[in-house]
Amino acid sequence: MSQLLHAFSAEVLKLKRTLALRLAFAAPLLIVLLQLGVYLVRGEEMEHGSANPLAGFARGILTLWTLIFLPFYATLATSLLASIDHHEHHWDQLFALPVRRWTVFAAKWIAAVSLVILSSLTIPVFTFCAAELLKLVRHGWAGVPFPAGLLGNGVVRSCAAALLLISLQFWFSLRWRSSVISLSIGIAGIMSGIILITAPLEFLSVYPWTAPGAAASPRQPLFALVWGLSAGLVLGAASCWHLARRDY
Amino acid sequence: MTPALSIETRGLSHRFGSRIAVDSLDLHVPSGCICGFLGPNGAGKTTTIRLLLGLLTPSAGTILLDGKILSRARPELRRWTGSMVESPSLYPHLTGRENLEVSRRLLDAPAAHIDEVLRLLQLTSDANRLVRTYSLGMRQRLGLALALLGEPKLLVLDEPANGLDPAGVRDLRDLLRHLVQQRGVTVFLSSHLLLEVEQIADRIAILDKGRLLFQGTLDSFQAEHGRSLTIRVDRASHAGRVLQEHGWKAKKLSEGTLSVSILEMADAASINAMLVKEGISVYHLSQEQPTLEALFLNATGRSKEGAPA
Repeated sequence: MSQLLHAFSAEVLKLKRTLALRLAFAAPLLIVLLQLGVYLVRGEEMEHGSANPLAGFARGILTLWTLIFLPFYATLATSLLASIDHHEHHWDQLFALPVRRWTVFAAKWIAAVSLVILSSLTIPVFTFCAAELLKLVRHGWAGVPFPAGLLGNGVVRSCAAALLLISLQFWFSLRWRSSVISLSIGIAGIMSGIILITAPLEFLSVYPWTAPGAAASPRQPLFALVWGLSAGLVLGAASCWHLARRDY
Repeated sequence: MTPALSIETRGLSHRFGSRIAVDSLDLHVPSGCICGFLGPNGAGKTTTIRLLLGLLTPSAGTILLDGKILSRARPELRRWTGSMVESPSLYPHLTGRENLEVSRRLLDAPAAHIDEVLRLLQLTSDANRLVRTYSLGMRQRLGLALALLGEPKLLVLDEPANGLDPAGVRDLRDLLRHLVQQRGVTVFLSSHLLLEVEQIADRIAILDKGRLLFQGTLDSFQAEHGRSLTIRVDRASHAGRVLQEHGWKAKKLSEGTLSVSILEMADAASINAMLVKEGISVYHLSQEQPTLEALFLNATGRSKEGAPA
């Protein structure tokens, strides 16, 4: 356990000044800014008939995040994390150290999951800031309660359901040195998820690239959450086991 | 009494598919020495080093480090070993100090080790610069600092002098000597810089096509492979034929000059007497002490100096 903690701490240091870490903040900020722009331009149309206009505002951000940006960020973050060590072939250096191989990969997997969680957690923060800005512009919104429960619930559910997607992309990124493979698979998964958006919720809950969106959808199917979480944990462990057994 | 061995391999072999990269290697590296690991490109040096570091699984044979069998379940042997394989693996987006900190966290070594290796490798003033701004020589020194971070007793280095200028090579030589003499470290280094190996190594091991051609001290190698006699005669072609008929290995160096491999100085007198008896005039006869490079090329069959007589 102590080795795993040391390995994770090394992974955290390796993230310094990386695009993966910057995107953890930039990607959620971009969605919130996009949604804010839409509401600033067309706010009155958007709030029409809504009991809590901020709920609609937050729901839009959550949908964009869980359906497109979270899968895309998970794909990119795992690929960028892997490339840190693929780039100069750090494996010889790492595996020559007195650290068990599986801990190196387990630490990297935890780092990938942490990045996605960190990124997701910034969604409610940025949304809150944007909501406060909207309240300054739209005086009628003063006193409207911030939908913290909706966002918190959606973020937690989508993160748990995204574990399968993260583990899959993690394995693709580390199994093949070329990031083209993992990125291509990730983008194909996201695009097919968008195309299949009208498919039954049961299917969307199982499909790794749409499971986060399904888990955070208004019907909040428990299956999406349980499946994503449990299959993600099993696949994550299997990936670390498999990657540790390979010759590099 | 047999000296303690830092590295011992018994019948070590490794295959990549049907190709044999390392073939039945019985390597012995005594503790507290600098052993140069020589071989032409593709000889299997890096594969051997990767096997010694547990980065590859042997197809056959056993590896013992410090008398203990190396296996992936023996992390204490990895703690005992420091290494740099091929070019140093560095994170260009981190500073030199941060690169060391990554390894320090994995090694769980004291923080003071970082300052110590930075000082030893003369990198203290550049420690807080991003590695992407380092020169090739500085990257090489940082790679060595990483290898030394865990205070290893065995240092395995693959081409450590790559990218170093002559002053850097001299500093490396002094550093390795310091580590051996002051800390009792054993250094196993592969290099294609034969002159460098000749200057710093106590022992050498020569690998060719995956097989060990020689291992031992430089003196014993020179004694075994190194004596040659340079002879100037009036009829070199005829002299060459005569020598070969009597079982001597002769090479024509230039018009009228031959080189003959001998075992001891007494052979020079026998050869002289034999040539004179055959009616060949001998103008000059001297024993040569060739460089390691010439011996290495000769031992690996890559010598281009002269054609057979």
